Amino acid sequence: MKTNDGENKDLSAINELDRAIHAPARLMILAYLSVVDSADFTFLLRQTELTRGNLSTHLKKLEEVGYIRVEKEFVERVPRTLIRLEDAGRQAIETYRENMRQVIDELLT
Amino acid sequence: MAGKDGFSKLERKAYLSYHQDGLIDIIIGLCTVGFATNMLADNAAFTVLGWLPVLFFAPLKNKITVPRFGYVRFDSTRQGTVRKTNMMLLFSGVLLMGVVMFFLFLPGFMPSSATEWLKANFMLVFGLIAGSVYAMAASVTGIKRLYAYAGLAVLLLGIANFVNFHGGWMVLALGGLVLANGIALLVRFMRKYPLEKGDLPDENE
Repeated sequence: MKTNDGENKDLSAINELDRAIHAPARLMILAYLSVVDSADFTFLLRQTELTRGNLSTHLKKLEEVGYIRVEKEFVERVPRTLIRLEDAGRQAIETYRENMRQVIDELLT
Repeated sequence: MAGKDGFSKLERKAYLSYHQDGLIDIIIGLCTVGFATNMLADNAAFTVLGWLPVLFFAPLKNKITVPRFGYVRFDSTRQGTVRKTNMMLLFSGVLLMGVVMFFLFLPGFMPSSATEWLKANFMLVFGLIAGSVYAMAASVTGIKRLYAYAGLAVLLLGIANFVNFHGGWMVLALGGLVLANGIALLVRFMRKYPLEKGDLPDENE
């Protein structure tokens, strides 16, 4: 029979989950940004189906932790705000995936 | 890397969602109608005019799709592959057509019976070539409705061949159906995605 300590140790990866990514909306945003080079606000709005305010808030949070970069660019003479995934964000997704896989493996075995 | 392997389905979804607007269907439909007009009027000028809609694809995408659906830049490697594949498709279609024409009209290269068969079943051969190009495009782009157009091309031109009907009308019908489907998709797209401001909301919004 496992002790409480043992059980906690098995699921310790839960504590290591990155809370900046763990929110479904932010995970969705990062997942979309990880498969494109860059996208604007409207594209993310359509893909994630979040509200404008909600998306804006989550983007600000992700920018604060350095996972995304928001920059103004001229695309065919039209000013556009493009959002890109930073290397830190890509690494954070990878770490999150590994931690989640570990948690799920522990729960199923 | 997560972005490159683990999310390939998501990448595909994002990529395909960009073709929900029906613009590609409208352009293909207009080109086919132009080609049919050339066949019916027997005037080569329509062939040139038939290709003109291709020039409007990018401006229409920027005017209609981007303001409603947003702007996205896909991975440069993928964009390069898509561009190369599109060129390859176009080249292979034209080459195939050229080869068939070459054998069809140059005497002595094929047994006369084969040449006669090709001439007698020109519309069927034409339908198979058009169908193959559509199917290749469907396979490469992942746009499944292009398979339906491939089947439709073979079916309509096959019918034109066997009922001894002027092929131009069938090509026109094919173009018309593709165009009508494109317009229906565009209307649905514009209703589903009304105009949005492209940028991040202002702080005080």
